[in-house]
Formats: sequence, structure tokens, C-alpha cells
Amino acid sequence: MIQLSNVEKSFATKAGQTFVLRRVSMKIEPGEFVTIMGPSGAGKSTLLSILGMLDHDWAGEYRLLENEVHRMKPRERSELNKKYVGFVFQQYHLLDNLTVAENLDIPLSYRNVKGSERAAIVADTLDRFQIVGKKDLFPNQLSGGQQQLVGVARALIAKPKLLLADEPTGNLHSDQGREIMRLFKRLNGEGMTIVQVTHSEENATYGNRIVRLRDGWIVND
Amino acid sequence: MTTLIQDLRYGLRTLLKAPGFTAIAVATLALGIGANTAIFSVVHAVLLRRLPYPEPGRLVVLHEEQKRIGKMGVAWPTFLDLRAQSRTFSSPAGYRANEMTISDTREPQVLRIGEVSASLFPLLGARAALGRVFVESDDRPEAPPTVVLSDELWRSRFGSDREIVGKAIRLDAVPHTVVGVLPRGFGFFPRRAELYRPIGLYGAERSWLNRGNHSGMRVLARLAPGATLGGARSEIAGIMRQLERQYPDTNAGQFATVAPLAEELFQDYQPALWTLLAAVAVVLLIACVNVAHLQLARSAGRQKELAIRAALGAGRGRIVRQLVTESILISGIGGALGLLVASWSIGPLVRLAPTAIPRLAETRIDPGVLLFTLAVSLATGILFGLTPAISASRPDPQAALGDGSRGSTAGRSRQRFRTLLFVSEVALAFVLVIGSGLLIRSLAQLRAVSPGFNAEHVLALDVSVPDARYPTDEARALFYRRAVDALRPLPGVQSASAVYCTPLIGKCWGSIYLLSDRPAPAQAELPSAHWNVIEPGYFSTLTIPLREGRLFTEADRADSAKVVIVNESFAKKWWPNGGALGKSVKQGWPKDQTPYREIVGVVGDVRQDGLDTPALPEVFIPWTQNPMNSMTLLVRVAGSPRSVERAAIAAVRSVDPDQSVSNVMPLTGYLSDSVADRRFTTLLLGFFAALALVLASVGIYGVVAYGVAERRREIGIRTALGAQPADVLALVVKGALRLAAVGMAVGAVAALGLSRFLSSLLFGIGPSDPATFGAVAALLGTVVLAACVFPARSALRVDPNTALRD
Repeated sequence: MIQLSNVEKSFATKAGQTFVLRRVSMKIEPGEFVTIMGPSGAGKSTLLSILGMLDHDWAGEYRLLENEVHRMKPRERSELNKKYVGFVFQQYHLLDNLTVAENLDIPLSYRNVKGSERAAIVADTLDRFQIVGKKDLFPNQLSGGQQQLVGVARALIAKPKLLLADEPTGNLHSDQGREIMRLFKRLNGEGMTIVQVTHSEENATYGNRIVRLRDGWIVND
Repeated sequence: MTTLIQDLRYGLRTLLKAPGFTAIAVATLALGIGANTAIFSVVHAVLLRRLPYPEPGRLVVLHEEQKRIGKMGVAWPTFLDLRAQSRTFSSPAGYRANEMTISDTREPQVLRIGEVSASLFPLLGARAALGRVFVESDDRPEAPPTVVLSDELWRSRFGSDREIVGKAIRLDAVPHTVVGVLPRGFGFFPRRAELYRPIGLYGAERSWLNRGNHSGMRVLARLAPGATLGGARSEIAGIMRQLERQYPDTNAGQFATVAPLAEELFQDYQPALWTLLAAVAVVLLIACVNVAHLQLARSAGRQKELAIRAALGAGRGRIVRQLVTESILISGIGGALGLLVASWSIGPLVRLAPTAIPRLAETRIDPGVLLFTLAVSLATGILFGLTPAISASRPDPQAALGDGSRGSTAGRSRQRFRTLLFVSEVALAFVLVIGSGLLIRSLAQLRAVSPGFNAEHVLALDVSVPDARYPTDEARALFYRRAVDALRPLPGVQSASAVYCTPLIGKCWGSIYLLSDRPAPAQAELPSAHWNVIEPGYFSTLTIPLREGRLFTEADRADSAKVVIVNESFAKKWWPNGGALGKSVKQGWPKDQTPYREIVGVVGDVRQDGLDTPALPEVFIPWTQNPMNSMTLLVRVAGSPRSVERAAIAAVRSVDPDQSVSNVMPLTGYLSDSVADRRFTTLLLGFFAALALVLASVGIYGVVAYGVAERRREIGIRTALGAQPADVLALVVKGALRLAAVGMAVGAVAALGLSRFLSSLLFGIGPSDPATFGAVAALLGTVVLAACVFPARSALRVDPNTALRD
């Protein structure tokens, strides 16, 4: 599903070129649940951003489902993101001034889904994630776990083939964190490809593969 | 007091630390306050400043009036009756403006003359600086002619001669004795007279004694002690009713109006000046909105400082006071710079304004204006400072000092306030641009109006021959005949002619008339028309078309059959299906000895009273059959009218070297002058509307840019969730346009309500002209879009990767 060859990212500094990722090459098959681990500054989140096509400033080759991402223009990449990728963030990143239902509606609105269809999909998702009772609440009226649940629901509502999660439980207490990880496990079981970045060894156990990064290099896969 | 000084010192230091913010805020306010000060100084000089006479509020002006004709002058006998019978007026005085030629050893000069009753000067509290003012014995027909000089004429023409009193000067060739010189600055007529002579000198003239057919004068009076305006009005109405019964042939249907002097002098200029003051007030409001937004944005960045103050025990009132002190400091500096802006702009403003506006030249920054600027500055500081201060005075120390203030309630309230600022800004700009748009459209409509003649390439010269040197009709006719004959052979001259009442100058002779084929209506129902006197070549010189019949010829002499030409409005009024030719018309009252004159031609309409006034019925008499003292000579040339100016004056002087020529200017100048008032108001309002648009676009840019900066994280999230550039663009632009639409809707409602006050300044369109409203909506929409360009570009550049990590 994903194939990276010699992907590199660096910044020009006074001291010269500072690398964030060095010659990263890896392959991820459909249905895998990959955990990227490593110390702070290892390049985990950067790698996730490149996979999610939020970061365009890198070198190397990246293929996603037969699409040669490295040859694409930013606009084409964001189209690809829209089509295949769902994102879950550590800080949830729900939009404060939108209700739960409206937050869920956003990805659909960017995919030109008709209004009536969108309402049905949102209702279905609310039901599926058992948050129907919260649909009219604003994010600041929810607990951290509930917010992340909405974040996951929002990431999945457009039926992506790839779910990228950046420290999805980083801001949650352990029970809430486990609940989210169990949800990921279940989704993976249903065929969803997941790539998560985490510091938590426990969270890593929910996946079936761990890629360790250090100073931008893959040190263990 | 110590706390205030401390607040001021701290405020000043804070402002100096943010020089960019301070400079923009001060400059914005300086523009707004400066514009207000400049316009207020004009309004203050013209409308608000006390008239320089004792108890000016008790001075009133009296006119005769007829329903069909409107305001008229007061007949001399009526004035004498009013003076004798009125108990509510003390010392009424007659006055009228005139022009006379002074001739001595220097070049003849046409002077603005005030012909006044002897009681006028005491009525206005004026005393002579040299000699004396008029006494009753000067103000009689049999009195030797005397004059009182204005200070300006005494200085300019007589070199401040302190021995001038008792000397004789020649006015229209008649010797007049100078009895006094008025103090500097005294003036009464809207256009100050240069010299005064007693009006009673006319008292024995036949035309002057006619109650019905007279040239008239105005009457100024002071309300007697204890009398009220209402009481005076009813008393005068009673006297006029009695005169109507006593002299039904001449006074039927006539009544009198009594108005305060200030209203009489300034009423024509009030709508335009108040409109301009309202316009600059809107500009200042927009400036306030801009600065309020700057304050809001800045206070958001000061949350930490304010939180520390609150945590250290500062009460809300204390924080608000500190912030408002800073605002007043900004507005105070803005006000001081605004005074500079005003003092620079008053000169050009006065030069740009029509000269007819009374007291305009006295515009200056005086203590009254300074007080206004101080009050405006203070109010401005409070207006733009208070709400942001109240909003900023609710810091949440925990949130501000910690790290997680996202999505707080205070943030939402700031957002609401910003939305309000945006909507107000658009609404205010909409109202002002509508006002300006309506005036621009009116001026365009007016300029598209054909005056009915071709003013291009025509030079006009006013000439007035004195009775003393030209005592007979024959002498006057001969002078003008020779003058026109002297003009025609000049190089470049295509044609020359003469007319009594030049189009657009508005000095026409209005009179009632009778028709030979109609029974005479009741006195009060007699129709009225403009009566004009012309040389036969007048119509061809101004290219006024002949519709029917013939033009005058040299065969229309004093002793030939009495003839007239009428305009189309006259002909259509009485003979809508044709047939005017051959009918006869008589000027004056039924009992007057004036002859019936046969209509021999019908010509096209000319807008005599200005482009904005439809042509009235007009009757033309050949100059040989009614020679006038004053005529305007018209010269059509191949090139520029100015090129023959000197030669034309010399040609007139070749006929009579002592004859003065005045108001020498191209006819297009009169055409331009006829719309000068409108042009001035339109130009200024247009300037203020443009200023408002610039300020509003800067303000909208600020609000949108700040909104984008605040929504970086949201834009990042949306991009991560699949938003395309078009979606991000729509997020910024749609939001701005939605608010702009609300602002425009509010502005449109306000403009619909307020534009009615502009009605008197409009021409050819209504105050709710859909084309103007549509165009302004489109213009403002474009301005909003333009203001969104840079913020939208910056929104497109938001890197989701960075935004989500911030």
C-alpha cells in the first residue's frame, strides 16, 4: 500500500543542512497496523506528516496505492489525502466553534458529498461511535476521551483506506487511552491500515509491527 | 490625580513601545478628526457663529409673497404702511442690492451697492468709524445724494483718506457726498456691499410708488420688546389683509412672510453643510472602528500583562481606566495632528467653495472650533477605547498565564465584537458612499441637461448705463446699438448681441401678464412669466432655435407695432395645439397702461434659472421697444472667448470712455457657476466617501487578516481533513462576504432612512435610486473582496504541519 524509498527531509541552518529524516525506506501492506516509535526529535511526526501528504518539502520516492506521490504537485497530493487518508491528532484538533455533528460533517463537505447523504452518514457515525447524545455539544463540553473519540470518528467518516494517528492517546488518561486503542484494534481487524506514532510501549502492543526511528534513521523495523 | 498621571505616563510608555500600532492609530484618527475639524470650522463660521449684531435672534426679514409667484420684494408704499402700522416691529429698514459705476480720475469701476433705509445701521448696531451713518433727512427723495463707504472701499479706492468725509464722488455720473466710513469688518448682505446709499432717494419715482408692478426691496426689522415671532407674523398678516382690501387691484392674493434673519441668510446652505458634517462624522466613526479593532487585537496580545495585573489585585475598573487612558492619549495626539490637518485644509476648502456662501471667508480655527476638536478627541478616545478595554479587562489569569486558552469564552466574545466592528464598518461606508453616489448621479444628470442654448465660445460682458448720462430711452438704445456694432467687426467675432436677462444668472424680470384672447382672471390668479429684453441677434448668437413665426429684425423699432417672441413653454401653456402666433400679451396688471404686444415668433426653451429648474414661460421684447439701463453683451467667437476680452472691453469704451464693463467672463463660466454649489458638495462628499472606503478597506483587511491569523490552527485542521485551496479561500472570502452582506443590508436600511435628508440636493433621481444602491453594493463588495486578497493568500499559505504543532 505504501512504499517509501530513501525519503529524506532536512532544513538549512547556519551550521549547514540539518536532517530530520535520513534515507527512510519502508513498505506497508494493506491491513497492517504499524507503530512508529522513537525518542523526541527522532522524526516520527514528520514521517507521519509526509505519509499524510501534509508535508511537501522532502526528497525521495513515495508510492501510495500505485500513485507516485513524489511526482505529484501539492494540489494533487492533497486530492490524494482527501481520497485515502484519515488523521487523528494528539490534541484532537476539533473545531471549537462547531458542534460534534458539525465537526463530523467537515471531511464530507470537502468531498462533495450531497447534503442529505452527509446527514445520513453523520447520523450513522454518531450511532456507530455511540455519541448520538453528544451531537449538539461543543468540544469544550466534552471530556478529553470523548473529544478523541469524536476525532477518530471524524477521521474515519469519509472511509479512508489509511488511518494516521499522531500520539492519539497522549492527552488521555490510561483508561480512555486503552479504549481508543481497542477501537483502533477493532478497526484494523475490519481491514483498516493504521500507522500510529506513540511513545507508549503498551499502545504499540495493539499493532502488529513496530518501526523505531532515531535521529531520522530507521534503526529497527 | 497621581494615579491619572501614573496612567498617562505608563500609557505613553506603552504606546512608544508599539510604534507601529501608535502611528497607524494616530494617523487614522488625525484624518478623521482633521476632516471633522475642517468641516466644522466652515459650519461654525457660516451657520453657527452668532451674527455680529446686537440681539441677532430678534432680527427678522420680511417678504411679500404670492402663491403662484413665491417670494417677492416688498413694494415701497407697502413698506411705509408696515412701518407706520406695525407695533411688533421696531425701526423696520428697507434694503436692496444694486450695482453702480463709480467714475473719477481712475478707471470706472462697478461697485456693489447697498441701498438702505437710514434706520438700517442703528438696527444693526453699526456706527461710523469716520463721519456718520445716514440720518432720516438723507433718506428722502428730495435729499442731496449721500453715501457711506465700506472700510474696504475706503482703503482700496480712496487710499484710507481721512479727509474723505464731505467730499463728492460720482456714482452713475451723479455726484454723491460721502458722509461716513463704516468700521472694518461690517457687512450685511451675503455679498458685502462696498458702498451704501439711502433707499429713500427713490421714494418719489413713479415705478417705485406702484404697489403691484415694482422692483421691490427686502425689509429688515427688530422684534419690539416683548414681541414674539408668532405675534409679529399674525400682526403683519392682518396688515396685509387690510392692504388687500384697500388696494384690491394690486394687492389681491398677496401676503407676507416673516423669517428670522439667520434663516434667511443661511437656509440655502444648511442642507449641504450639515450633510458634509454628517459625512465627516461617518468618516470619524469608521476611523474609530478601525482603531477599536487595532486596540482589540493589541489587547489580545496583552492578556498576560492584564492577567498579571488582575492577579496582583487590580480591579476591573482600574484596568478599564488604564486602557481608556491609553485610548484618550492616542485620540488626543490624533486630535492635535487633526488640528494641523484642518488648518492646512481650510484654505483649499474655502477656495474650492462657491463664493456665494456667506461668511465663508471668515472660516478659521477659533476657540469654538478648538473646543469642538477637544470634545471630539475625548469622545473618540472613549468610543474606540471603552469596549476593547471592557473586553480585555476580563482576563482569565489561569488561562492567560497557563498554556491552554484555546476556544475560551473571552475569545468568542472578542470574535463577536470583531464581527460587530466589521458589520458597522461596512454599514457606515455604505451609507456614506450611497450619499456620495446619489450626489454624483445627480450632478451627472444635471450635466446631461441641455440648457437650451450653446454656451461654448461666447463671452459675456455686463454693462449698465447711468440715467444721468443716458436719461432717455433713445439714448440708451443708441448706446447699446453702437456697442454691439463696435463688437461685431472685431477679429474672430462671429456674432454679437445683447440681452437683459442672461440665461443661468437668475436676475430675470418676473411679471404677471394678460392675454388678448382670454378673459382677465381674478387678480390673485393672474399668470406670471419671465420678461426679457433682447437685441435681434440674441437667438442666433446663442443658437436658440426658432420653432414658429419669425425672429426680431431691424424693422421692429420703437415706433413700429409692439411685438414679442415667446418660448415654447409659454406657447404650450396657452395654446397646446399651436396658434400662438398673432395672439397678444400685455405685461402688468389689467389697469396698467402697458400695451398689448403681438406674438410674432416661438423659440426653444432656455433654462433661465439654472440647469436644475425647468424652463418657465418667457416673453422676449425687442430692445428698441423697451430699452434697459443694464444689458449683457454677448460675443460669439471662433476660438477662445478670453482671446477677445480686451478688444471687447475696448470696443465698448470706444462708444463711451466713461462706461464701466463688469463681470467679463465666458458664458460657460456661468454654466459652470450654476452648478458650483452642487459640484462643491458632490466633490467633498465624494472625497469623504473615498476616504471612508479607504479606511473601511484597511479596517476590513485588518479584521479579516486578524481572523485568518487567529484561525491558522483551524485552517490547518481543515487542510488536514481534506480542504482544498478553494475551500480555504471560500472559508475566508465567504465569511467576509457574508458579514459584508449583513453590513450592506444594515447600511441600505440606514441609507434609505437618511438619504431622504438629501432630497433637496438631488436632481433627476430619488433618494432610493436603485441604480445607485446597486452600484454601491457592487463597489463595496469589490472593496471587501480586494481587502480579502492578502489575508486569503496568507490563509492559503498556512502550512497544516506547522499550524497543527503550534
